[in-house]
Amino acid sequence: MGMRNAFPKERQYEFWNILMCFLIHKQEAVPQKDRMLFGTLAYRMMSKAAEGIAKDEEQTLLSAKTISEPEEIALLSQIFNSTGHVEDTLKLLQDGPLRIDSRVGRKDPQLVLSLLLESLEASEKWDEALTMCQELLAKPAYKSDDRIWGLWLKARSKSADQGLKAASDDTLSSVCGVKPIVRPAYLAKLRIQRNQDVDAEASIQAQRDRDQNSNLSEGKEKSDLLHSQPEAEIDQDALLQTCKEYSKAFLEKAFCFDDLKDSLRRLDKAHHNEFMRVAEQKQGNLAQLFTLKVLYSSISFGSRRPKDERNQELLAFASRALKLYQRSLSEAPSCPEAALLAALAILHLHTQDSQHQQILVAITLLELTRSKFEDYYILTVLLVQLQSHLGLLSLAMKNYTKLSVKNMQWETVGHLLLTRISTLHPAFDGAVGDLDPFLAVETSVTVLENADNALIRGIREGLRFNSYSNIYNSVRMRSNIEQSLNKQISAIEERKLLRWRAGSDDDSVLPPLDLSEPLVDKRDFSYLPSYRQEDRGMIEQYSCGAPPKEAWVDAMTFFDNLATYLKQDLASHALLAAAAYDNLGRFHQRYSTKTFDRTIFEAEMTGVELSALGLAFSLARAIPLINEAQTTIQSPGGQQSVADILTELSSFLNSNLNSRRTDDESRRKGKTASSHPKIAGIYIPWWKELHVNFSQLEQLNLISSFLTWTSKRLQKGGKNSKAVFGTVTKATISSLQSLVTELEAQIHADARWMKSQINEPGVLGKLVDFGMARQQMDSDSDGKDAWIWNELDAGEEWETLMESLCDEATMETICGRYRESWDDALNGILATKVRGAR
Amino acid sequence: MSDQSVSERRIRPIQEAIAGGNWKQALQLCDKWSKKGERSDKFLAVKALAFVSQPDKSHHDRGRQEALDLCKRTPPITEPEAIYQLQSALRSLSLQEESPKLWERALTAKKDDKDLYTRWLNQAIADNNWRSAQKV
Repeated sequence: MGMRNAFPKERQYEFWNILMCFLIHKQEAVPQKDRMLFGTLAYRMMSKAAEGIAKDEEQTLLSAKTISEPEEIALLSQIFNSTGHVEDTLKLLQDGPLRIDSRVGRKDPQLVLSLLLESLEASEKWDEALTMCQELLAKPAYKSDDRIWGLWLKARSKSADQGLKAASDDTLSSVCGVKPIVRPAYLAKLRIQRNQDVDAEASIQAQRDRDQNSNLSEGKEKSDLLHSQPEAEIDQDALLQTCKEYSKAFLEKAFCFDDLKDSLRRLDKAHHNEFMRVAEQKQGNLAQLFTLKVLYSSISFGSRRPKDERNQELLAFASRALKLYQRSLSEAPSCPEAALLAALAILHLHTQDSQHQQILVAITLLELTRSKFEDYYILTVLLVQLQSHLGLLSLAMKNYTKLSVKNMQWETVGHLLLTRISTLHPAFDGAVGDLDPFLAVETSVTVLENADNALIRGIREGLRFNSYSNIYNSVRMRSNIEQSLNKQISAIEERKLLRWRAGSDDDSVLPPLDLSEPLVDKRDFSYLPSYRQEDRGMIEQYSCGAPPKEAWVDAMTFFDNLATYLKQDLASHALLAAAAYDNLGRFHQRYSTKTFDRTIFEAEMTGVELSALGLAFSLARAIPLINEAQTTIQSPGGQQSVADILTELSSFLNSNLNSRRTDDESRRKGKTASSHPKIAGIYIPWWKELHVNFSQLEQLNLISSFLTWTSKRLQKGGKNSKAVFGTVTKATISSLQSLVTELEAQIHADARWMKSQINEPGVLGKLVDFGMARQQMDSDSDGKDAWIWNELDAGEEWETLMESLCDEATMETICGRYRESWDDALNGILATKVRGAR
Repeated sequence: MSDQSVSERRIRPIQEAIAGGNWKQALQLCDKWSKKGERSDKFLAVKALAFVSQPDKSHHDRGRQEALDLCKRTPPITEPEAIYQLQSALRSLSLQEESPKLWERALTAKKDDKDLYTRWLNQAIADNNWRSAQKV
């Protein structure tokens, strides 16, 4: 290191050098042998820096190479622990010259304590770890330190020393006897009483995350590790007693239910009822809110339970929750969370209407609450998701802006709105307060790019101020951002949206994914409420399709390169067209190998996306045939010629057109396809309707470009042209262009029909009646059973409740906004024109 | 000092032309100032970059040769701004792994120049190149 040699008197360069060696050791792109070498180098240099202090602790630090700052201890711990020398760290931190009460340690005892605990855990010397935790917990200053309790729990569950375990029980009893009660000690007690070690809990969380990510539906069996634990071993009385004591102390705190929910789930029915009995006696809004949460989490969702019985219990719960919410508006403290619980209960109702009406009921409750509690984050997040699902995209966009999403939240929260936005809400009418979807996805990408610059600055500052502990995290974060899945998804959405914008002039080609490096998924679904295990799965059903991952990104990049190639080649931009063509070749090569499993797309893509992918496969076969003057190309069904591919294209267009015409015919005869969801007797354009329409228009755009491109090639003729095109004539292409135009016209006609449904006289009244939970007396064409309130037999009580929550004029305003938003969504379809066809 | 400001005045429009993709204009300006005897390191580096960025092969190859000659020149280039331009040229030639050598060579000529060390380190951090950073 030149700087160290050039300026030997500046001690920080010594540590910079050590840090750089460590960072090389951690860099995966560096060959393994070199990584080992630099790891050893870092370890040796750091050991030397520690040796200096060991010999010379009490003297003033004269040597530049000696550790003298807590940040340097953190660097030492990081290097030692990740190069397999954790015991050396412990030696220095436990009784050595870097212990908490040493001269250097005293400068930042909290940091040194964290390093000690991390090192003890990394060493897996559980007896030693437990002893150390016991010693620390004996001191009043550390009794409430949850870092110590965390390690104490883990070490206790791993330790085989019965004597130590007995001593730890004494420590627990002693700390739990302290008043006011010590929260982390009680949490440890609860965990022990429900017979769970820390690893088991971590694996449960991991399983939950996997379940949530794998998009399992509510109906499917979810693995429930909690309930797989042997119930018989739990001392129910003891667990109940601890739950009671804990709730008595923290009942009014927001964290109380979260801390207790796993324990309450382990109580048997009798003990749970006893807990409920005590909880019910508590007075005050917050105590009642706690009781409601416990009640909500205990409603039985067993498959053997009659549907009606469960629905009635859910409705009764929602009613009770709403009454508390309403009462809390006039008697502080307010409880908007009660309204959220009511909405969740409504969403759990099991009705026959494909669950669309109840979403609107839930949305209305959330809207009413949000109007009074604008900053209630989790409620707005759920509202945005439900509104998107129901096709109320412009409303969802408006509410999303209220979340004030900034910085990395564009990655963690932003996906809840921006997933598939280009095929849900590509159009933007520029209304005040609305968020332009293009601007939103663009921000989502640029925020990550700017974050990289901020991290670079952070690393430089870290070096300048000798603050080493966060540099490695910043380096890792940069690498995560580089490989961000959400950034890839947003970039694809941005390009898809850009293609719809008139006059767009993008001069880039989307590079294919480097499949050797996995993408990093930082999308966070925990912003959505989860009071019981079924909540996540239920809310997931109300997303707009399965969460996209690598396979989706790969397929969409393929589609994008196809669109780019056709566009740039038609515009005679040779360099860009060549780059996209090169990419297409690579995709074709990979996708056409026998080992490639196309089913990987099915888990992440919607039906219409899969259909677009099929179309892209066909077109990507035709292009090299024409470009390279070949007569046939290998396809999954055997050899194909250009004429075969155009026939396939014709079938694709005809099939879509016929299906739409059949629907149209049925409508004319007064019948409608069951796939169209109805709310209050009105057909609504929910997300799937919008997604299919916009996706099909996108496909038509691609087909149209392809036909124009093919037509030009046909006209140009050239070597082997007759053999390549075979029976394909100008008329063939022209008839396909006509099919594109007809299908586009039909999509627009369908949207106009839906618009007419939304705007029919009396629609607003029906929506208001529905919102106010009025029983529908007269049957419409589909019978009055289609009205959710009839099916639920909710009775006058619910109607009275809604009337007390909201007056008719407010409900009319809310329902008017729904109607405007659906109308806006349909206008978006009408405004989306297949430009390539013109 | 005045020479430097004259060079700056000449170079800026070339850089603007490169940034705006006006290759023809960039080349014209390079030719113009070259004929007028402009020989500052930064100018030479910007000229190499302008040639490297050309889509046609002959200009591109000329730029490649000029850039590589500047990288190997003795005495080495020590002006940071010139090094940055050469780095951009190397990136366009997909030879970015050669960039740290520019700093390394510069520091053999200016052994105690802290500013050069710092710039090299900052560049290595931005490139996520810890091997280069460790050499600084």
